[in-house]
Amino acid sequence: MGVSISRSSGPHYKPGNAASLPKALSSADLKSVLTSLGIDPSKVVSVREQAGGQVTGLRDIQSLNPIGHHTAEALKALGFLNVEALLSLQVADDITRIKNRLATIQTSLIKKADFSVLASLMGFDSDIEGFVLVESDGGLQLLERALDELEEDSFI
Amino acid sequence: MTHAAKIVQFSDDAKTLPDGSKVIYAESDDKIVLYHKIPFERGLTYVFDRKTQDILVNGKPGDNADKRKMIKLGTYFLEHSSEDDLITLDIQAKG
Repeated sequence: MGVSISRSSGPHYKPGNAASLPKALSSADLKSVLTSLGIDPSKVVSVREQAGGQVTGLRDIQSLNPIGHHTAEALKALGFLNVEALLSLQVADDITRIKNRLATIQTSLIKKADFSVLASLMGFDSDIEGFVLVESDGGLQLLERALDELEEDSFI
Repeated sequence: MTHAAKIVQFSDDAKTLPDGSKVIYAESDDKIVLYHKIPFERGLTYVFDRKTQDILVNGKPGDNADKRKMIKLGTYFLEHSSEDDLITLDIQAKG
């Protein structure tokens, strides 16, 4: 199984300028995270490059531009032995995505019976299958239906 | 089969949260991960399974209290982050 890696950074990052690259990521911390995800970082076969939100293509690892020294060392420590390039990428919508994922965990804390009562109190059909809930001002707000995020048996 | 994941953390490796700790967020199709590192202490890894809704803490089964801790930690991380502070590793496994 091969692994490809790409990286995105904030709007101040300029492609091709090693001096502007973010500092190296802590390899020990990231190795723990990768292991938790079940990802084996020992094989890199390609790099996915994006610029301005557009994927500009997949590159053969041999033709990639040099990456910053510190980042290269961190990636090698992670087991990405053949990484020779880094990517300049779009500004990712990380904060919104992380908020949505945390809401998913919050939803898992609600018992199905309690959820039916809550849905009824909110004026929704009792047979509705799921919602995305976000904690706001100390309470839970019923935001929207998220049937693709929640399964019928996912409530505890 | 394609396996994809994203890892998000501060772009400046020296930057910490106000309490001095570091958080790394990661997600894949089936997991949500928060890694919490307090100085001079062992790191804590929270892994939430998006399919089973179960949680593991450092590899051991957790409970609702651990889920609440994970949410609180993620919220704390977001409260002290901006898009400009963050970088994302976009990882794809092919095979």
